[in-house]
Amino acid sequence: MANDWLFAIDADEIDEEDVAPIEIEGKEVAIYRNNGRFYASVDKCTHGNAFLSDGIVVGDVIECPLHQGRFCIKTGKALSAPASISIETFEVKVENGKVFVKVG
Amino acid sequence: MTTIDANADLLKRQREIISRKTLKPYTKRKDLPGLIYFFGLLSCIGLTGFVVFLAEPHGWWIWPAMLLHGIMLSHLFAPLHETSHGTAFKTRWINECVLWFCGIVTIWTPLYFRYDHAGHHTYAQVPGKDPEFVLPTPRTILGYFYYVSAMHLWVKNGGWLFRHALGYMTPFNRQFVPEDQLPKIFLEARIMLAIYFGLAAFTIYTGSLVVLTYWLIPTIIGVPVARMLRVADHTGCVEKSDLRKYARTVTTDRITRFFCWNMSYHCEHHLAPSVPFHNLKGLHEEVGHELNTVDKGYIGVQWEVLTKHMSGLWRKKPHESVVQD
Repeated sequence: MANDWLFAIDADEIDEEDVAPIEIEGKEVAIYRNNGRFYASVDKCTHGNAFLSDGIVVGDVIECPLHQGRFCIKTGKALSAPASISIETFEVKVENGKVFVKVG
Repeated sequence: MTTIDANADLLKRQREIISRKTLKPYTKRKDLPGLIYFFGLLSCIGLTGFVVFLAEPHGWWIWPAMLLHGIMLSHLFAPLHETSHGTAFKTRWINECVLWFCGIVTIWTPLYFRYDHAGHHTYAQVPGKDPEFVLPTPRTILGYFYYVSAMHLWVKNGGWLFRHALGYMTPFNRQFVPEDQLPKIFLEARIMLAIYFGLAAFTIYTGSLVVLTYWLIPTIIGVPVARMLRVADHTGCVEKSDLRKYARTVTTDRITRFFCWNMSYHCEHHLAPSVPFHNLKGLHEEVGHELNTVDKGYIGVQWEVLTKHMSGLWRKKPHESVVQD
């Protein structure tokens, strides 16, 4: 199942420049939307373990709601303190208005 | 409670007060308000610096002029704090430049402060864990003046600067910093010390008093005003993790709010640190009624702290506080 495309969410359920939490295969995943494109990552900040889906999306960046650690939603790279460890990202595709994720 | 549990608990309690949907519009970032506030403050600093210049030939008048200038300089702590959260500006590089500028002028190591302050947000008012606990109980009047005079600040910030420059961090401070970030924190302290030693060398070599008159002495004598604002943030509030009651929102005038970058809305800031300073007033109007708002101004709060939240002039030895039969 790990390499299968799994349905995550309807595309229109996420606003532009926003994030939504979903659970796939028991994994907590954050789905991001920016400039009409979708991205996915684990839903936990590597600094304080807060849900990133409670955070805010500013362009290609997700900012943790608790201490404002920042990650790139495309690559998962930790961009600024207090976050220093990158987050895992997942492949995403959109078909017929539905977002699919490959949670490897 | 572990750090992870403490963080999860904070977010759970935040959701009990405000939903993500309601909160979201308040988290929107902008550049303009931060630029207006920052350059407004710099203009005031420039103006008071000019007053120091005018007062220089007139003997002792230079002291009140330097005090006024120092009060303005001390308010650079407000943008330092806001930029440490990364919420002051939408454009990240402006945020980081202002963070560094304010850190150097106010003598706060900016990157370490970011970690230390994150620890404060996780453990605000939790005894033994909050790295920025201002005057925990039992608090004394001498302790209050030690804090407000900022002697504690120079001991703390000087300690960070010199220890980190030497490649050492205390175990208490160390708990807030990931291992891989230590070299960056040590490097920032070395860069800052190099700048300060450079200014000292310039002063000694040229015999110029510019650095002392326009920065160092005003910074030392002016900082108590900013410290008094900090006292009002938490001192006397409950000493446990309670988003509703562990901080204090002080209703105050526009000018004070300008100089403290709206940190008078301190409950709202702790409720949702992602909200930039320019949206805290709106957030206060939304949820302030559920939080610890006091309507007596900063001077009233100082009086309350001094008259209601002190346990004496100085700390008694344990046996002195025991009532003997």
